[in-house]
Amino acid sequence: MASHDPAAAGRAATPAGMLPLDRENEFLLFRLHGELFAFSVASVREIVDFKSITRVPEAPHALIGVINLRGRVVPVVDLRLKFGLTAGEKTIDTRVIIVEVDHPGETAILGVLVDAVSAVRDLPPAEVGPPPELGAGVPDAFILGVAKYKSDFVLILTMDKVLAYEELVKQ
Amino acid sequence: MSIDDDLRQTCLEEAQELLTELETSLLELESAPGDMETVNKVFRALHTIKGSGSMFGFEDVATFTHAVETTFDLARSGKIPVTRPLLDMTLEAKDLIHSMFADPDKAEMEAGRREALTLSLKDLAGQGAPASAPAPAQTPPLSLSAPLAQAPQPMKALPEVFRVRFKPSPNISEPEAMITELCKLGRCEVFRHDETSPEGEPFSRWDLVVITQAGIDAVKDVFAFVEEGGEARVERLDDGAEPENTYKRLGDILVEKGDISAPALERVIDERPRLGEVLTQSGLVSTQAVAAALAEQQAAKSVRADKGHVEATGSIRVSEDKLDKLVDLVGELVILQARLSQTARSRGKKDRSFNTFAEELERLSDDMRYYILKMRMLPFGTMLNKFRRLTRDLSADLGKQVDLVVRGEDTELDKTLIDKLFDPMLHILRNSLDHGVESPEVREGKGKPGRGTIIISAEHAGGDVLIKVIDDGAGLDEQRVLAKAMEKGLVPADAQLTREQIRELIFLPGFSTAEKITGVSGRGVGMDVVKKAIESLSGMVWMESERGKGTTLTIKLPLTLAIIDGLHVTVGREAFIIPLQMVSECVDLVQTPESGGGSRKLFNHRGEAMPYVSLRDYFGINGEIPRMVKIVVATVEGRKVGVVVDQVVGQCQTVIKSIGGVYKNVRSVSGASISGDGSVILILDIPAIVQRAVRAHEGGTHGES
Repeated sequence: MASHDPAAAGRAATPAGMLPLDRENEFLLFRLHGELFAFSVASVREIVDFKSITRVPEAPHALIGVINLRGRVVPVVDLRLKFGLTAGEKTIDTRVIIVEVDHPGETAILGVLVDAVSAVRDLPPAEVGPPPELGAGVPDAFILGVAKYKSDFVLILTMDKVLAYEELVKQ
Repeated sequence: MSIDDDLRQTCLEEAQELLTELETSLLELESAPGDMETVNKVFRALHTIKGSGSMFGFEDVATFTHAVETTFDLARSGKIPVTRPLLDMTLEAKDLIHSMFADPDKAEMEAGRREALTLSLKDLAGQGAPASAPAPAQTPPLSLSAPLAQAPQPMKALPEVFRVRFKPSPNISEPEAMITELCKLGRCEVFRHDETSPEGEPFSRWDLVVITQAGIDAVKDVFAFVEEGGEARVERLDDGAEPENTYKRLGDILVEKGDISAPALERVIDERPRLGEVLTQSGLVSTQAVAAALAEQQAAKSVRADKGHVEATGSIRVSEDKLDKLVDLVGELVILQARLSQTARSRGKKDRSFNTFAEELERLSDDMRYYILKMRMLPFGTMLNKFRRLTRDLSADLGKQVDLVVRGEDTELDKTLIDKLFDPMLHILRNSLDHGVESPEVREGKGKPGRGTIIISAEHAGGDVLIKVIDDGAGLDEQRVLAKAMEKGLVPADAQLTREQIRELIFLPGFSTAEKITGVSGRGVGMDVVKKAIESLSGMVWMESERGKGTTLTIKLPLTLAIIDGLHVTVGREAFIIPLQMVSECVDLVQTPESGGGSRKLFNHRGEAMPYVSLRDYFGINGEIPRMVKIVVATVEGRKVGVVVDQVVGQCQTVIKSIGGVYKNVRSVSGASISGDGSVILILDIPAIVQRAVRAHEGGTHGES
């Protein structure tokens, strides 16, 4: 395994979707209903502003519709709805995080709707604690651990589980 | 991939094509055993396979093919007749060669079969070899057996060369129109001579050479209206047939007799000025006239040369990936084009030149789209070879006699469609062979000819392709189908079904009426799989049948899967696209306050009660309901159904995109498209919507209609 040098890795100009191995401890921090959450950056392709979305009928609650990502039609998941929260107001901070996840038979490109994107931070395993007893309403299975960021706590999510195919098609 | 691998790959692909050609020719020979042209084709194919086999290290292919070729050469030279055993063996050899190229493991196991076949071929050759003795009685020439008794089929008209000397009358206004007309018949060489009449009037006359299959009458027809004072002389120069007696040229005779050596003769000929030059120099003939005469000669030569390979057309091999990429790109282009056109419309009043650019670009991108999609098109006939073979082998196994007739082989379809259509078609054909066509005894008992016929036809109908499989067999036994369906619990025992509904039953999963399970069909995975496969290609399949007369299965498919014409509609603030192919018209509907309830919705459409679905209710879209809405009249499974929308925005061309696997369970939407303003619009699956709406309406009632 390559030696760990977060400073260099953070500045390294890498093409989208191709992250060097030593960024495995890097996380994308975002806000949802006032709380801080994080995803590993490994599967994040890009972050786009929220513009218009097209609702798809008959779809599960949290799948709020599809957007046009440079000619590609991308389904969007509202994480608030996924976690049983109420839908949020769309503000100028609202973002769609475009991620790649493995679904049966395909590598799915999905958008994840969040209230705001805060930062990309290195959270070494040593600083990550076990999930809290009461996971702030988020199912335990989705939480990898908790870390401290400034004066806040960050809930680190396992994206593979949150965005798993079975999880998404559930009504 | 190394160059060697590359070459080997090319060789494999080429072999594949040659083998297909070989099979086609062999099957053609069955119906026209006397056609020497086809015999030659078989021989040529074998010869080329052998050649490229040994060149690329397929030594065993070369050796084996050589044995086949040797025997077939005897047929070519007329020493042995083209008999069914010979064709059988050559067909088997074709299969064996195929596995030698494609599947070395299988080929290894087949070594014994190859040896046996080589021996039988030698046997067959032996019978003919000594002094071209007549073939023994047990292998009668094919032309004697019943179905093959017809005279060799008339061959496709060969191209002929005509010379036309055309001198229009001075008062004719547009002689060029006739020449243009002539050029439409085929390849045409035009020589214009501008001359001056004895009276000092300038006039033009033409020497024309045309190569065409249309025949002399068509050529003469073009000049039917040459007026007084003009003339058009049409002569046939070369009818394409082999010359019956070609006189040897003087030089050749002298060389043969040893009076002069060949090199010496050539030297003399080279030194001698060409006849054309001599004539031009002496001023007897104009250069124009010589050029015309030379063109004539050239045309005649080229027709002869073409005869050798009529099928060969200029083509290059392109990988499918590249084509797919190109289709994707042109899809993007069409979307961008739509956006540009929209911008141009809103700004066009101020900026005329911008509008012009947009229009020109639109024309260009339309053309590009057309040709790129056309590049993916293949003639329907490409998938039929295996069917011919299947019919032949299977009918023999089943003890039936079946002729496969193919119509519309040239009808072009998207390659993806052809690939995906193969399995369903195979299944349908097997069904027809197994269940449809009866055995010869049964047929004769019914007063039908002992040989059955299965027709596979393909034709274009608007933006669709209609593919039919028609047999003249027993037809569908509706009572038996119904009984079976009840027995299997697919319909309630007391159900009253119309004939159409009974026919639909065969498309239900788990339905199979085969009394016994044959290796051919009747494994219970039947027409439902076919139906599903066709529907996944946005197509439809239905069956018509008349007891005792036969069955027709029709498949309707869109020409291409990548781009469709759609109708852009809105409901509330949401927009949708309805595929245009199923839309017949749009009519106004004045909303009544009580509409929107669960009651049966019928609309009086030209005096007929037409059911309709409100998309607003169906999708649960909120918002104010306009007083005047539109009904889009669509045809679903032969029935007219209305789809109520707020507004019809207009027609658009859209590129179909997938909305992603997570929406797989959404039945009402078949895909999405990017609209002019960059947002995503969903494409509706109207048949699915109608089906669900009907089911929701019928609710608990027992499927009565």
